[in-house]
Amino acid sequence: MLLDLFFGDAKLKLDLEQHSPIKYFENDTPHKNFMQEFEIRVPYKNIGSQELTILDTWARVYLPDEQYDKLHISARVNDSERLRNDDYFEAMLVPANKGGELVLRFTAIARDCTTDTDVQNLMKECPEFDVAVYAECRGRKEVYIDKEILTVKF
Amino acid sequence: MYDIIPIKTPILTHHDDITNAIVKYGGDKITANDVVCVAESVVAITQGSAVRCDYLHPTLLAKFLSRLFPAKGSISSPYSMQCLINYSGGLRVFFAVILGTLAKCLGIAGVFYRTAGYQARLIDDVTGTMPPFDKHIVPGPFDPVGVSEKIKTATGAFGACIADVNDLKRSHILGTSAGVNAALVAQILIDNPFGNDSQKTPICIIKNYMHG
Repeated sequence: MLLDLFFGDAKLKLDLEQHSPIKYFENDTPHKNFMQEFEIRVPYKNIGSQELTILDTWARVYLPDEQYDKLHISARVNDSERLRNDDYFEAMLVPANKGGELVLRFTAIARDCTTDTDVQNLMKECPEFDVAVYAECRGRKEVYIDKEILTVKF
Repeated sequence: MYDIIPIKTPILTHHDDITNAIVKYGGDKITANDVVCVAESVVAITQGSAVRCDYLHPTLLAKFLSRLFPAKGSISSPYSMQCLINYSGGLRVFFAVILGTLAKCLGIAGVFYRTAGYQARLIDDVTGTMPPFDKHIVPGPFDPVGVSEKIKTATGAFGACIADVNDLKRSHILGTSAGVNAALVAQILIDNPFGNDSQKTPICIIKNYMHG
């Protein structure tokens, strides 16, 4: 549209190359041998000239049983300024040329839980895997989905 | 000086009836001298008016007209503009934009909002409401006067009103039951007793309104 040429639009950029190292969380629960939580932070920026709305974000872990069937790994995504304990992402506005950090919070759970299970060992054996990070975005035009791939190696 | 009591409720949705919710969560605190005030967005939500972008399909007109408004405005997205067009009609909104633009050139502000219909200044775009309605566009409530009368009858209060109040000292009364002075109530609510999370305390009671 002609107006885009004059005013531009919003555009999300996830800077995957600048992601943080993996941060592992302490687990003092009776499940500590079976479950491990960890996070990776990914910087983002609205590189467009209009205000960006991030309506939702989510992540899909690409670790199928065919590749490694000893762990189930899931992830949820939040903005670092709006961390939550549930799997909900609060829609947020990002002014032009401003940004922040998305926090990918992962949970790795051992598939077979026996007295010998050690989730940390299972993670060491786990091959590197991809995670698709999706963001449902809106600028001054229609809603679109941005998808980027992050590779995780323990 | 008036005493104002905020009433906490669970998140109310389109499955709730606002009158029943007021009676259930605040009924024991309301007397015949009080005025019950309800946040407009919550009334609209209980009326089933909140809509996700997924269910609005912006037309070319909505896409074009929305670009003419500054990004901070509630109808600057094609979805909220489409929501307004659905309520007011495309022709009316189109001519309101033309009138508003001409009036602005003559130094008269607010003409668009006065001519584009009841919803023009009431529609809240996404992020304007707390979860789980942060992903919804929330228009203004239907029949605020009728809703106020129903609340008054159900609670036995002196009166009731539907209010649009924010932290920027904007206080606007959309409708009241008979006998309630809208300007006075707007002034009483100016400090936004509903708070930022108006969906958790969507009801306020002005105590002893008659004798305040």
